[in-house]
Amino acid sequence: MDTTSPRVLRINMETGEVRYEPVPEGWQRLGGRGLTARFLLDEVPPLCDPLGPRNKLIWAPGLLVGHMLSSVDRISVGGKSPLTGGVKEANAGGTTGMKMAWLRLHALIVEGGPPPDGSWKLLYVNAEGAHLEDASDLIGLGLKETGRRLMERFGPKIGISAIGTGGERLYLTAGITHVDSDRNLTRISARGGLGAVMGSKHLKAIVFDCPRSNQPPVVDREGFKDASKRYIARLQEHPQTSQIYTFYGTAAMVKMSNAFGGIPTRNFSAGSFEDADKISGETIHDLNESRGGLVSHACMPGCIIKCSNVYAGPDGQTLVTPLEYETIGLMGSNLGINDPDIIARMNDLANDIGIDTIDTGAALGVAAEAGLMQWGDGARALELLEEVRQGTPLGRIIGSGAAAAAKVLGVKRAPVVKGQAFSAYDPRAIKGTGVTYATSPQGADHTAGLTIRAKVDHLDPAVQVELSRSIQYNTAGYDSLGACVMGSFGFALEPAIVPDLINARYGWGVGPDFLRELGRQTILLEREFNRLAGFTPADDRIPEWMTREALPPTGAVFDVSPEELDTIYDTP
Amino acid sequence: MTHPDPPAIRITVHLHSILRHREGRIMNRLELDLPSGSRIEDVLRLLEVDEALEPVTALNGVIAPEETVLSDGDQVAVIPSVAGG
Repeated sequence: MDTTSPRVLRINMETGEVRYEPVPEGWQRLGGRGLTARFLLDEVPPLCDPLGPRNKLIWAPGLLVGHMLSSVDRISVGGKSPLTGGVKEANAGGTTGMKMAWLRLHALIVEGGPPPDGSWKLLYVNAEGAHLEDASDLIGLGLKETGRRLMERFGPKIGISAIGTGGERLYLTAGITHVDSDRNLTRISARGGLGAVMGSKHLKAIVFDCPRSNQPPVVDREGFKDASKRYIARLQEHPQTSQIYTFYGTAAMVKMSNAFGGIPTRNFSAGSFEDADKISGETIHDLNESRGGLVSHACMPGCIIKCSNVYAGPDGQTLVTPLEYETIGLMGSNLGINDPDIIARMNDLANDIGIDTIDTGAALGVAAEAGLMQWGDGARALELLEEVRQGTPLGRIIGSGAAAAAKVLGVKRAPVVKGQAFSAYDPRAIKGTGVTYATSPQGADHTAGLTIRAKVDHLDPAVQVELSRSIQYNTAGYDSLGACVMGSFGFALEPAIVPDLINARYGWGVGPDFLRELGRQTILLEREFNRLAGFTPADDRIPEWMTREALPPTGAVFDVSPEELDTIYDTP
Repeated sequence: MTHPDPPAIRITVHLHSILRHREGRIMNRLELDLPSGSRIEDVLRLLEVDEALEPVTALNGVIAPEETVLSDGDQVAVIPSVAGG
């Protein structure tokens, strides 16, 4: 078998066929999110049932993945989302992207319905080939035990993409989880319910067995080395990537978001949490350090930023890895919970079930508003999550995410766009991120274009569309390279680095507009898929209640003009 | 820290993330005596806050620009800018 050229690995779960194909010409210059968008338009009928046999899943490493370049080893997973009904790309750190690049897999596609006999499978891939194996012994297991058994069976150095019981039960919050650089099965392609798509095909896990480094070839070795060196130097220069996120992680965002009046509090009824100090990055850092946890941890092998952490409980034992801002916002302040240990336990439980902490936290907020828990009652929140794990009727409702939970429980204030929950920035206080939530083809998602760091008045509706557009284009570009948002701080300091890396890696001769144009084309493809799937301008709106209900303490409503939202992508 | 020019105001500065690391230890807040009419930007200068941190400043819990004039008893938060969660 030719293991030097990039290939596409295609698995039909219904027929059991596993085959390698050459990379189609139109896919050769695409990776990560850009490839997921092209793939969906090329192969997935936009009107298909997301949980039916005509939907497909794709794993696509970004264009620069495989070189252990700091923060540039991310994997994108794509498919039609059962949560939004539209295009979905969910990327994650960990080792899956790197292992795929080392196995020369440009993409891995899973298609067809479940095996006719109803059995569950795992896919094993190594340099010699790939095959399906029975996975019935893993069904009903959480991700911790799934990871443990897979490593026992195939060795500790494997890469894994797997679903927990959430994906098996077709929860719309279910993600696909990858192994990090320390063998924790906790890095989740979380958003949009792609774990349910994997579950609908009865694929429990993929094992990537490639223990030794096999970095992809580089056209201009010296040029690549030089651009990599400049990139690392820029990361080391930037205080966010060399100091703040290294020691405080994304939890450093709590105080900033709270100061802007934008932290979700009690189902997005306030933007400032009175106990923000108790769940802040500073508190978590000090607590974790005093307990012997790791305040700094790399989720990808070559990362020098190390924004992740391993959070220890009072007994010094790991409670969860990582504990991040979005989870703190949605499972903490959004529920009125002020205890980092409770948030960590909720996070750990969600990780084991394999579900998105953002949509699940938002669904719990909706449940609290419906009277199913008191604000701040951590024990009750854990009980509700336990119901999600057990699959009780109430647990299934919460596991279906905030939009479904709000409909079933009779709550009008659903914090969603395109059926997907807001991240931990209230769109009324951080209006540029609100524009991203409204317009991104992905549904409400801060990772599609977070504007909070921009030096603008975040309450001024007039300046937000241009800001969001620019960040969305660049972000979709980074998502196509396999770069983490943290890496973008280094790239932004010297924009020539991205084209230099691409030209050294592939010899394509791209120019300075490469990143933005790659991102823009990606978004236009995604938007086209959504249009064909039946989306209209009505889907590009912040919920109407947020245009009327003033958010304390700023008193802001979402008031960016709908006309501007509808034409955001008309400008290159 | 004191300032000789009367009349003075006393404010509390809340330091966040890496700004807490001062003089070899962690300092979450400190009190400053300033001449009246002082602004938030004077606090940043006094504390030698690195401009590269692009600090976000808040006064009594609400975002406030650096040119905001301070009053006695004010609580000022200085938060290095971050993004990404």
